[in-house]
Amino acid sequence: MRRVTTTDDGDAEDRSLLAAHVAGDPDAFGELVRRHRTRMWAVAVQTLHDPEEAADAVQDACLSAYRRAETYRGEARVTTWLHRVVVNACLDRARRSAVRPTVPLPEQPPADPRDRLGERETQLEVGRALQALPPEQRAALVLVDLQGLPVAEAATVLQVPEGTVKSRCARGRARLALQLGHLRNPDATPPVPPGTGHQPEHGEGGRT
Amino acid sequence: MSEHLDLDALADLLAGEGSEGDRQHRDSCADCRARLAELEAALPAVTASLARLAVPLEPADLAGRLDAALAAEAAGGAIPARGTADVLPLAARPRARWLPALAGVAAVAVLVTGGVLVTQSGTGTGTGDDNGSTAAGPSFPRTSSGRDYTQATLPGAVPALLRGEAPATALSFSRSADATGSSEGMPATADPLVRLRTSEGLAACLTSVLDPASDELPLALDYAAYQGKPALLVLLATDQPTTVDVFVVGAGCDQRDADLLYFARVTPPS
Repeated sequence: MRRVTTTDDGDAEDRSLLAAHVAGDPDAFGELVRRHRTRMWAVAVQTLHDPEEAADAVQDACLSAYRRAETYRGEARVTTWLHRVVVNACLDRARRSAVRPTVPLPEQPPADPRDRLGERETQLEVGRALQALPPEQRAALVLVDLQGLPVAEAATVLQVPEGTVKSRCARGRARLALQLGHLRNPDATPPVPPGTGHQPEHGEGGRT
Repeated sequence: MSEHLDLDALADLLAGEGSEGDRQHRDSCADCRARLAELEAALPAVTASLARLAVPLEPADLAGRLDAALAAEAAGGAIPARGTADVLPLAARPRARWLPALAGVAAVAVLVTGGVLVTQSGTGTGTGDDNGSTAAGPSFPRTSSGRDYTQATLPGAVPALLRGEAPATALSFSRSADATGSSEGMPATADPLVRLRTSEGLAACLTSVLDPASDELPLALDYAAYQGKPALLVLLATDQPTTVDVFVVGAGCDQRDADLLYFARVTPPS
């Protein structure tokens, strides 16, 4: 078993695994995936909502990272790099499905969401509302609000400026607030059809 | 007065990312300032909801699948592209649509880790229903399909379950009518759902699922699996005649916690 003395959350070991993979160690990459699979799954399934799509995206990401390991330059932590590969795989899938006739989610918003199971129902409702966001906003929220990444790291993952991450998160939260009924007068703020993302992006244009 | 700020513009202002024009409008428009304040007040509830959002279960076969894909990649074999032609009506969506695309080591990994062997039988050809269980009580259809459902396969199974029939395309693993019924990949002696097959266990679990203020009963139950985890499907009526609520609860379902694996309000294919 590889043992590397590390002082952080395992990045040094991740780096040595990646280097070993590039050097031809046949087991190194699989070990790297085992270390981070759960996190990769979480990001993918929260971004895509559909477990089958998410599993496909994680596989896409693993193969992509496997093939492109030598392009890892070491500026970012390995987990950040892996996040980026996963998010890109998810966004590819989300964008593809946005221009195709989509598979409707099998559920519809409950007529009275607070009846059964309280908190769990609320969770389902939040999950559905999250799914209705434009993919870029969803990805930013998954990284920052769900996975707890600092804005700076999310910006590295998404390869956009920090201001863009802040804007995407803020817009996503605002839409969720509207969707979840936290705003009293939604009439004043007509919602954009879910998932279109065509609204002009204030304060974002020059930074993407 | 320029046009009022839209929701995105309000959000950007709160994030400190608003444009100069939007800031000027805010400073001159009491309406928009009020909406900004309302949005700001709503955000803590939103971020709290997001932070509590549970991660759906990782598929039981994901690890094996990734290992297999990487092994195939290392061997120089291209993994067949998948997921490119998967937009089908839900009812026509093949179950576990990636299974046939994996060969050899991948399929073995799936069999070992998931215990799932797909036998598409097409139509209901006497797979037999498994009505009846050791749990007594008011009558509603109960089946023990043992089927490993996914989000995609679940809606299509609902009509048969409401009729008390096991789904037409059953999986090949053991299906059984009583407490010896096994779930996928599990030895029959270790049926993880055994407690939910007893009257007491089932009643306790349903306490967590049903509306305590009503005396409703499930429309149907199915002892099965969801994404590789042993699961009980509880089908409930909604106020819409065309929809059914499906609660997928795990083996740990009891009166304190439904152990909810998945929930869907389903419009069964007609």
